[in-house]
Amino acid sequence: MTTFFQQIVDGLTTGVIYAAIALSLVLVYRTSRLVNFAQAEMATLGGFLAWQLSDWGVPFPLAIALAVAASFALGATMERTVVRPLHEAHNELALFVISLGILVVLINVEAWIWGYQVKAVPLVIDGPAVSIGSVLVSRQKLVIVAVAIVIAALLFVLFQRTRFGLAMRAAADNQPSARLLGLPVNATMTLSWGIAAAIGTLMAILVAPQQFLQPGMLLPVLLYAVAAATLGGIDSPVGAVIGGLIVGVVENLAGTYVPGIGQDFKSAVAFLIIMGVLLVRPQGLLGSKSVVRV
Amino acid sequence: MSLLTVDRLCAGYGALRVLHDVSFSIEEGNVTVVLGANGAGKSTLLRALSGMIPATGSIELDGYELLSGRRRRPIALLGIGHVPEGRGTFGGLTVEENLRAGGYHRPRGEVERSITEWFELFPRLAERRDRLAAGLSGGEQQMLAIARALMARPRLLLLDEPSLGLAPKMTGTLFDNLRAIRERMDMTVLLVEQNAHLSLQIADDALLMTAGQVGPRRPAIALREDEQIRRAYLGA
Repeated sequence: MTTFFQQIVDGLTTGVIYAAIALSLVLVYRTSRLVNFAQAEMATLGGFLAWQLSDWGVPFPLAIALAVAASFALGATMERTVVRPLHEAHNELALFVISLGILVVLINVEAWIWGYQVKAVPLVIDGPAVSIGSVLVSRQKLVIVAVAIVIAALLFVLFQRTRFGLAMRAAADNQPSARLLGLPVNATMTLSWGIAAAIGTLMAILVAPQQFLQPGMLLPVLLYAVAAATLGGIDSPVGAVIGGLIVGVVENLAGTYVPGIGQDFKSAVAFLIIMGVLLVRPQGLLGSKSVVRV
Repeated sequence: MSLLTVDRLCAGYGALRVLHDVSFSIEEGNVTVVLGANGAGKSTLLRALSGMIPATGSIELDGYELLSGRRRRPIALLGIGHVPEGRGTFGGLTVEENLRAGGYHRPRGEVERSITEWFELFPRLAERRDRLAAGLSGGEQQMLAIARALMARPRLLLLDEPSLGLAPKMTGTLFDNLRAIRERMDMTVLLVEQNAHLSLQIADDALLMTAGQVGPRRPAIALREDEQIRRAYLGA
């Protein structure tokens, strides 16, 4: 039984990471109708920035803050320069190809600057694992969970309690109408890309000690995040969080309990989830149907 | 006094030109209906006026040229509200949030007051204030779309086919509601509508549109009596 609970908790702590990246994907999808495959690599780049700054002697908390801010700026800039013209021209295929292109370019740029040797990113908190009942959780993982909860809470307040958040939701819902009402549609798009990139980088820095910082570090996570976002509904932030947690737990339990899957094949579980969901419920658990019709 | 003066307006989609040198003006405080067959360019005219599609010529709103060289400001800030064909409500937002989005550029206190007023005028919307707009009936969504546009206090309201897709009874209610709104507030409306019978009853003036061109403005009452118009648009 202890193993079971341990697997659930491990699944949830991993799922939080999927949820965070899935949230980034959803934020971008809602504004630009693009599943941005470069999202995870933009996050890894942020991880490298934090490591580099810290390596130059910048205190780690400040390095994290600077890397997150730089990622925000990078995400926002990408939206303004590359993405928006293609989005306005309704060129979805070109957008998709460009997101793959950015993914490849980023991997190469990272490899060119920092090489493939794993960089040692410090933990934000050290010390023995915390036991909750019979279940053990590392302190770093608890920090990751706490940070994810804070991010989700801040996004909730932004979307539900602020005027600008209302504009963000309205623009995601019906862009032509939002423009007719004079809502700051372009600003909501730029900000969404910035927030998505910032969330990704923060998560990348926190998981780097355990995932080993090198180019392509988060590509396996991206797979699960896409599965999570699809499961939750690609245009639903709440769905992304729920989807991430479900994928994390299911993947862990399948790896432990389903004979023949084991740790090597459990990533196939993510794809089985994607396929299953798309067949039964194309819009995902909480997604809106109209998105599918587009 | 003319609120809107349009001069030699041309617009279209890409290489396809739909509006050919359209010139007309509408009077402040009046409801002006645009009648015309399908494909005459009625919706395109509204889209050109609200800047949804590029246009050349001149559009003057109360003396202010909307098509001047510099980048256009959002039309809502210039005093034009546009309820597009198909309503365009935010389906994933609640009724109240739709109204708030309409009042985005107005001070918070005024927005609260306006929302209260709309809910008094349309109790159906008040009952559904926390429901998602997607769950409303077609007629309710149309009322919401109109109320949302009026939340911005526009000087000119562009209404595109409000009765489209509504059952005849709902269409009747909709026009009753439009009359009720007119009694409450001064508003200038440019209305595009298939239902010539109802729209000529509510309108003060009418414009006839044929093949991308607009004829002279005539009093709506004269068109109601006109035998040719009756045959062409009223099915009599």
